[in-house]
Amino acid sequence: MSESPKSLRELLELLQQEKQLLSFNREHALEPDLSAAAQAGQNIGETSPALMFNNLQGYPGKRIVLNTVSSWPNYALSMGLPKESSQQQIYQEVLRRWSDSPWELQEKTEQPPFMDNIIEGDDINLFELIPLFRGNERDGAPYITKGAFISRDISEPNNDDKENVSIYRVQAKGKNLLSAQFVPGHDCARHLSIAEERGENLKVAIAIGVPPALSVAACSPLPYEESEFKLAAALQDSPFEVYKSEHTGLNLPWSAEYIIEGEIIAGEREHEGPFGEFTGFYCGNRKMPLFKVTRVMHRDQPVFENLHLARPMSESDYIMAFNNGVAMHQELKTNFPGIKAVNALNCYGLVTIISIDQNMGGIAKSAALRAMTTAPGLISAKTVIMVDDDVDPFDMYQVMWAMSCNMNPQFDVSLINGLPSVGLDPASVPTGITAKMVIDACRPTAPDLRGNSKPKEDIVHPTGTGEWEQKLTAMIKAL
Amino acid sequence: MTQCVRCGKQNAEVMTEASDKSWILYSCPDCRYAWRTTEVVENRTREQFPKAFQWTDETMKSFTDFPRITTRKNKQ
Ligand SMILES: Cc1cc2nc3c(=O)[nH]c(=O)nc-3n(C[C@H](O)[C@H](O)[C@H](O)COP(=O)(O)O)c2cc1C
Ligand SMILES: [Zn+2]
Repeated sequence: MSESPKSLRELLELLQQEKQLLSFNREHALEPDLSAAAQAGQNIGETSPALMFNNLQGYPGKRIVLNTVSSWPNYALSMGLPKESSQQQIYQEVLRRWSDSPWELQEKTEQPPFMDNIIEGDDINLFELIPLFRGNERDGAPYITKGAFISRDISEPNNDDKENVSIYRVQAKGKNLLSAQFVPGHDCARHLSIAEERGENLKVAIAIGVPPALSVAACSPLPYEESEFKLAAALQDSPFEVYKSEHTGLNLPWSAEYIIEGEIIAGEREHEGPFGEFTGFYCGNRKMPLFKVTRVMHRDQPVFENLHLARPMSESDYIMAFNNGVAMHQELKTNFPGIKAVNALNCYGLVTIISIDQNMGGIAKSAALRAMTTAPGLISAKTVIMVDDDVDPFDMYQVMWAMSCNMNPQFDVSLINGLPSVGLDPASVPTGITAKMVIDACRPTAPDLRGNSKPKEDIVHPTGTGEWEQKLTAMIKAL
Repeated sequence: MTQCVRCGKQNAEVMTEASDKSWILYSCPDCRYAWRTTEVVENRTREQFPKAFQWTDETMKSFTDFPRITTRKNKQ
């Protein structure tokens, strides 16, 4: 295991070394080339490289990188893990760092590189400063889709733990005007509500091109009073470097490529969208908060890192892949220590697959019900599939084996009506309400002794299989 | 002023131009649609813009606040 990259530039260098980055030095148009290339990369599949565009039509000196963490090797490398790591191996390491590594901020006073270029007031023109482009073809405007959106609870301005970093969709609306979508219940919606209650605007910042651990932390379901900067520190296994902005009072990631600062206007909403979401559908038809930009800063030769959203698997599925699962696991482990892994990577965990060492019949089903009431599970976990701990919940062939051979719908499927779901779930009726289902694909365990899929009677791998696996892997690598 | 591809009003403004003049980027202050002149034809011409995605004043008025606005509490 090597160190996790501490900046976007370090990550790009590592991806280049590991042959997980393609660079384009010939000129490319922004539309439709960039999104088409990103989608093509995602179609190619789960080992696809990052795409770096160094020559953009009409934007000399600017660069765009897409699909940075849009595959398992790139995710593994962004965490300092070997690029061959399996999903289960990455999951276990994320789980370990989340609970065991220090959650620590490092406040730097040295001037950050993004302060080499500062643009304020009337000189701000976002469309000129950033090579903004349309993502999906029916999106209403260019969007910033991988910005770390930073805000604070103004009733406790000095409490770093109540500072929030999230990824939100951000529409470009004018030279110095943006808008953002804060799903009710998400931390920034709460920060805005506190500010609006006082009739004050809310100071916010967007950091683009941040260390990969921060992008992952930013879309983790942390409780309100926990800091994503600190989680990023745990995930990258080293203190997270920030710089305190005198302009907004917010912590800014020290190595960011771009910083956009300004304020959300209290008491105002304006039509927004539509925007192609992670569900694979356009979502819009709402009025959302406006963000007036007051300062933009960027590094020399800045890299605009953006993300292409589409039906899974797209980059948003990769960067969120383990977050909801690990967060559920943390909540479940006290009551169900037999849980080995929680795969909640399918659309936010709308389908969740949990592996468990079930010490008594009925335990797996109980754990599934409990998963539906964890903080992340409450609005996801629509279908929870339970498998034994010798089944890798990230390996769909194994999960389908368990469903095929261990599950009898007469006994092993349970439906519960009228539970909450994420508003973006297109199948929820009315929006935000759904039935949920438990599928128990564990082998029946005493005292439940139905059927013939008995734990002690299945085929075990021949003696020495594990050693052979290591030997073959090494030989294949050396070919 | 230029006609907006999505809402048809005449108020779209130039946001920026390519350094080599190969494109212009417009944005409409009414509906906030933005487009570049080098995009696929449906995205830059009013006639070809897909009907299902057109917006009128009524469309925009029908939208609801998200999240809803918190009312100001008077200081005691
Ligand atoms: C690409 C991407 C786009 C997202 N867009 C939004 C969004 O527009 N609004 C939102 O509330 N959450 C969005 N999310 C999800 C949040 O980032 C995620 O749920 C996060 O955990 C929210 O954290 P919070 O509760 O601390 O605000 C997005 C996630 C990703 C990866
Ligand atoms: Zn318009």
